[in-house]
Amino acid sequence: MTARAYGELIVKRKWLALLVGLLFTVFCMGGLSGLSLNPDNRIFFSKDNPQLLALETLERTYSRDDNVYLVLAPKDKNVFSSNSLAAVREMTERLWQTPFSSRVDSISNFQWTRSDGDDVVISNLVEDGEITTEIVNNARLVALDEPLIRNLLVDSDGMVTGININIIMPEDPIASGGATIEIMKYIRDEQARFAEKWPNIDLYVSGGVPLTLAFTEVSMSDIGTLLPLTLLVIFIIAGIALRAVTAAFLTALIAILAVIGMMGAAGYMGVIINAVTSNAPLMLLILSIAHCVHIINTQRLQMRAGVEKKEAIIESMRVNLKPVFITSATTAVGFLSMHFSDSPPFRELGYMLAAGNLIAFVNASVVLPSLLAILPAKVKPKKTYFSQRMMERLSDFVIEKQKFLLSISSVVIVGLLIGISQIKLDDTWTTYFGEQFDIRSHSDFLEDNLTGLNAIEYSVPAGVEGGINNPEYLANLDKFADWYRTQEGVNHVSVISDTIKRLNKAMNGDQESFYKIPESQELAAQYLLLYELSVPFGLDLNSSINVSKSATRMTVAVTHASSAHIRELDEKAQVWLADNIPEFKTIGSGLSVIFAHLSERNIHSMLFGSFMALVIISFILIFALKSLPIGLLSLIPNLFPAAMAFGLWGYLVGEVGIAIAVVGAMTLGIVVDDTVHFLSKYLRARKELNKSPEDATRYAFSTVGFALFVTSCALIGGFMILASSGFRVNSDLAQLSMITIAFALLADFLFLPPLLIKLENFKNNLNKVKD
Amino acid sequence: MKIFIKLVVSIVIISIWNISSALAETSEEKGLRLAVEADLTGEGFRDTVSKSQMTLRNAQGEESIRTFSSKTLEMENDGDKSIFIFHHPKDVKGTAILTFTHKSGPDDQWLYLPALKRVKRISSDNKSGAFVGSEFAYEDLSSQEVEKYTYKWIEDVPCPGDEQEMCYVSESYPEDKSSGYTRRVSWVDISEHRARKIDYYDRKDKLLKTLVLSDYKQYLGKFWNAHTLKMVNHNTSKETDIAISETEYQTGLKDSDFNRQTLKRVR
Repeated sequence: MTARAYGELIVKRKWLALLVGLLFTVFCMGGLSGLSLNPDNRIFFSKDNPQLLALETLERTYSRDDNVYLVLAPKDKNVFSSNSLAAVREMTERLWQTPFSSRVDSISNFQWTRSDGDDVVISNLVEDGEITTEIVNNARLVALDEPLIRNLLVDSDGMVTGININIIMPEDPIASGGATIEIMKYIRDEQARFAEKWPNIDLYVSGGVPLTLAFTEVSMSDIGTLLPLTLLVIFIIAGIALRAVTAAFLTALIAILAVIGMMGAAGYMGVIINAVTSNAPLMLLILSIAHCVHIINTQRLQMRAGVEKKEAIIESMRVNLKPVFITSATTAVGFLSMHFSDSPPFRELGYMLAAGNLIAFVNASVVLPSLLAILPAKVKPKKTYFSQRMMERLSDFVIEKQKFLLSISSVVIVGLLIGISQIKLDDTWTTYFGEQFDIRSHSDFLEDNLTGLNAIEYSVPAGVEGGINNPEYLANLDKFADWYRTQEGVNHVSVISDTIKRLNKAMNGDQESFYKIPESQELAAQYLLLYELSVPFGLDLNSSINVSKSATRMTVAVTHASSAHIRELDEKAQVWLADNIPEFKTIGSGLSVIFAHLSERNIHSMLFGSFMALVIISFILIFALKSLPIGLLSLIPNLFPAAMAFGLWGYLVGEVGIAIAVVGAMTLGIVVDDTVHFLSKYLRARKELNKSPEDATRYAFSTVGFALFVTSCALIGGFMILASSGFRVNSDLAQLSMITIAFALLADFLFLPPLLIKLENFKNNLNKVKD
Repeated sequence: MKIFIKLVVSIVIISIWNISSALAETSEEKGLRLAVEADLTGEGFRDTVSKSQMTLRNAQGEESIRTFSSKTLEMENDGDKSIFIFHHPKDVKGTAILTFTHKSGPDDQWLYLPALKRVKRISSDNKSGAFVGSEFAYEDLSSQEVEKYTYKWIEDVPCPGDEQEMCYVSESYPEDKSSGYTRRVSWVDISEHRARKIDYYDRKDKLLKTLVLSDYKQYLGKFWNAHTLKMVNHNTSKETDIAISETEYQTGLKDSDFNRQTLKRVR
């Protein structure tokens, strides 16, 4: 069936077509129940991510720890007052009730170990009962002098203090998602209660669990504000471009139907909604405008030229069905290439948008024409429009200044490409959130005043069973910890050797000279045995010593760490260990470390994906344009925009996260649409109408120039809205896409035509020489 | 003689309980009655000596062994006295813990550290830390005095893992504030008062650990002793098994074998 026959059929059976189209959406909706929500930050990692595997081994050896970190900041800037300590003690006690918690640490329940003759006394630093001046003074003395807690649970000036809740998450991702919500509900209730009871103390909440929940909450709050805004933008742009309110409504309606259909399809695929995949609706809204604009625009142009409505719709279908399908297909291919991303949410985003684009095509080719046929349409005949005059002037300018444009664009392209070297990969997940969110300001307060949220974890091997009590091992561990403490940004190191040194001192009449590693393995082992017998529930050392006592866990807290800094620290540690304690060879782990390698891993995995997309899209172009040289030539305006956007980003911003890995492949499918439309019109003018290259350029500008301008503006406008997302991964993605699309439009208007003309002249010259 | 009187008194009390239970016994009363009955079946053992091997296992499947022996002396008016002596790993060999359990108030505890050649008294109310890195807390292993808990009978069901026997399920709530638990739920067979399974609920009242006891052997025609104990931590998936290899009853231990001076010499 030809496109024309298809158009005739739709117009003739408009009600049936509408029904079929709507039933398709209803069918898709059946999948909606298959969607599930999951707040888990580990979704960003593939199952075979080596850093994740290292972390999972560490977690199975010790425990799968997550945390909630509360900071109490008394308004009088003094933690050591009876009032503040009472608040810390009460809160510590209450937080033991936090769901999934395994232990709670604060200065009040710090296990203060000392000796009194042959009595070993181990007790809470702030015991039950009245908090006397004596207790307050003692707590200050002990806490500020204690490496185990200074800069972790209290700052060195005693102005703020922390309570750390250790959480053991269920391993099953669905269960851990539910756990996150349950934990945070409890914490928020406690937060509200605290604010009422202790008005003189500010409370800040951060840590792994709150940050994890923020991934979902930020994306949900994004959807709530950004989706309606996007619809409004679509409505306005379509309204202006098509100069009709009904056309604007239709465009918005088709976009909404496409989104509903896509979400249903995502449900059938079992997609999990998270911070990344929740962008799919917004992106599809933006992407589906183009189809409607092209189809409605042609119909209205025809009607303005005096063609009757039905015939205008049929003509629009004849002209547009194929390009609309091809552009849907190329866009879908671009998104499908995200399958090669190492990060599952981006894969799923790719699948959703690939399906969404095809669903949008169905709606634009079935529901849209049937509704156009059903609804009345009127156009005011008018000779010329501003838009036409604008395009004519533009084409004249491009043809006149073609040599200048060609050279200046080449300079600009090269200049921008150099900027790529300025790009620094950064995926500090604690800064993924915009400053308008509490989680960000609370995290910043914590990092500014107390301790770092990013941690590098080591499981330091002792070689043999029981080896962790060996004095040599402990001395080396102490050295390793001390080396780390001198590194930039490191503000606390948790290590077992500190506990042993403290025990040694306590067992020797609290003499400062005994704050050192005991001289024999037996002594260290027996101290630990004594200590473990005497500490309260949950405060034992099981989470930092493995069962065979052949390795201990060391945790390095880093403040305001960029992911580059974390990678660098671990690399430096490897070198230092190799030089000083080669038997300690162990790689750093932890969520921060995995995130620190996230971009690189994804860039590597997406290189192949992007290449595949490029090959497939090129084939589609060559096939669609029926010209090998023009198809190959079209690669230039398709490839460079993303690279130019990276370069511009490198000059202006520098840091970029995981988004950079997928932008290239994703935008390739989008920017190629403009080239398809422009080149197909150009070639038609050359072949069917036998125009010269210059005139063919003018023809292409006048027929599709304005539509391309409008659809690009719509895309840029849409991505601009997404760029205001509070989630940095999304705003990076949107900003890079926006810049890429803008460059693509510029390339299609200013660079492609001179290039085409040059190519044709070159061919002509060749032919002349041959003749 | 004293034991005999105690037995007679107990039987009288139990008979009265049984009669009154026919009338109206609350779940709490029944729970306490069963606990007292169970405690009585263990009365009169005088002393025991046993050797145990503990196997610790993490979620990764790595294992580690600890061995220790223990001596227990039955006291008539107070909680039992006990000594734990470690044999393996080598670096804690000879380390010994002496405990005087009390029916009320905190227990007394001394630790002998051979590397230091000294006995240290431990002043700490907290006995809920991990016992040598295992999934057992000290309070799970120490002498279980009836007075340290309140009770509630729940139901009678077939015993877990042994459908032939009937078990009573009862909950016990620790009196001690520093206990790591809100409650324990135990399955104890009705015929011989042998505990088959105990669930431990943490301070949030969430199931934390499960202990399964098996390989019961009878001694002196009276005392039942479990020889395999398996504790699983549901949070961390870590496990600890205790295999008790030998138990001797009535070896003739005396009160003078249980003090801080003897602690240095035990092995």
